[in-house]
Amino acid sequence: MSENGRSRRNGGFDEDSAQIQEHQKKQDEEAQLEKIWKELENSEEGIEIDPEKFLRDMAILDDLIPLPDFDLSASWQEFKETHHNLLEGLDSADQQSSAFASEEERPKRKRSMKPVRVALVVVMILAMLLMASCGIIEYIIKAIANWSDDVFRYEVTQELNVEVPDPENTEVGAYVSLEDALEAYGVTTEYVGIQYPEGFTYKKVQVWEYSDSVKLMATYAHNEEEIIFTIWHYKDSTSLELQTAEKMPPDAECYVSKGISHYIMDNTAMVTATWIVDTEMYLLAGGVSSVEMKRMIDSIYEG
Amino acid sequence: MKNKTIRLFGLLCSLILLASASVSAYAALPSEEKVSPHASAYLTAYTAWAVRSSSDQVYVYYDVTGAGTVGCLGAKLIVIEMKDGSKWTPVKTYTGTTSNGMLFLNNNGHGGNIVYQGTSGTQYRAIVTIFGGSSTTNGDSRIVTTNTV
Repeated sequence: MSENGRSRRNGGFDEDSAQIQEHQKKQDEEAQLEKIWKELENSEEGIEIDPEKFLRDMAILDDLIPLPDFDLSASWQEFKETHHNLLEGLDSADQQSSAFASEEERPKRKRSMKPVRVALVVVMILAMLLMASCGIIEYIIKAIANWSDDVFRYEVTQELNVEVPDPENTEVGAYVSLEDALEAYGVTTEYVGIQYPEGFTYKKVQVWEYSDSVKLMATYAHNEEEIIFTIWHYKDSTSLELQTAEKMPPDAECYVSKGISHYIMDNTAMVTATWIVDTEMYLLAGGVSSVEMKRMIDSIYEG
Repeated sequence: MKNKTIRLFGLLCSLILLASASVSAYAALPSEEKVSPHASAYLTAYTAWAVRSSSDQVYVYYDVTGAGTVGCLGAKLIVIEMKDGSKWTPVKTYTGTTSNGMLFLNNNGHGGNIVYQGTSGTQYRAIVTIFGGSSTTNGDSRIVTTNTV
């Protein structure tokens, strides 16, 4: 009798028979498993299977190969204890996300704008201090008087891009007086009557005509010394092409006469004063002292 | 929100302090290292500008006032530049001489212009070297960049 055959003793249920039965059962289970695995492989290869049958097979598998007893919570706790260093970030992120969630759930509070306003005010004050330290003093017409240690200039605050017809070539002319030249070019200004220091007499007037302005320069001389008085007359304030004046440190002195700001500065052996009235820019320069320059400026308005 | 405001305020303060420091650093530079020139024994005031006509001619003007009568005044060099994308490219150079009138001898003022035929749709500007000196070779130069036309 083969080992695998059924025993006839004890109704076929003796000790040997029990072993054989168990062996037989195991063989049946293995065959069943083999069959189910084959069906699963077929399903992976795209061969159609009956889903109900598949579920039944899975239930059989559960019965045949029961899962060992497994405590999920205890296992997770053990894992956390083992890898607590790695999990710290995750834990805080979890807490943070839960905090955000609770914040979203809460009704939103009206946020205070006070800190922003205070910040803006402080920034504005600092910006103003910065501008003042750069030498920006005041606005004149549409220009800003601005100087460094070495140069003085009025800077226009708008883009210069004047569309004009073809201008005539620059010309230099000769006139008997500054008033004569002003009249010839249709420039009307009352601010030309300067009382020059003793000994200085009229020498010449030169005129340069540009596309949108005319420059009239009168020269007064005493021996080798010269005082020049220049007027740039612009067609309108939008065409102000302002001059850069050379200067020595430190600051240009703002001298106000008849409500007009005159900027006085040293340039090596000369003293220069410049100012703007309406669409005229004036420049007075010569080898004189600052006091004499102020006296000449005052004389313009005493007239 | 509060943290964000504090951070923003801190950033702004840092930027302002940085700007102030830059200005102070600039002021502390020796004169010869500054962009702006020093006072001049030959120049009192000067300017240069550009005007574009309806026929796309670019007029570059310069105007110089001397520190009294000086040996030589005017524009020593005018470089016309055209805008090519984001950069400026020189397209024409005019060298000043007493013969072409860009420089003038023994006077206390001088001014003039050159004309360049531009192309429609192209932007131009000029770099003008203003000069004042005892002769055509000995004196002070100042560089002026004109407005864009």
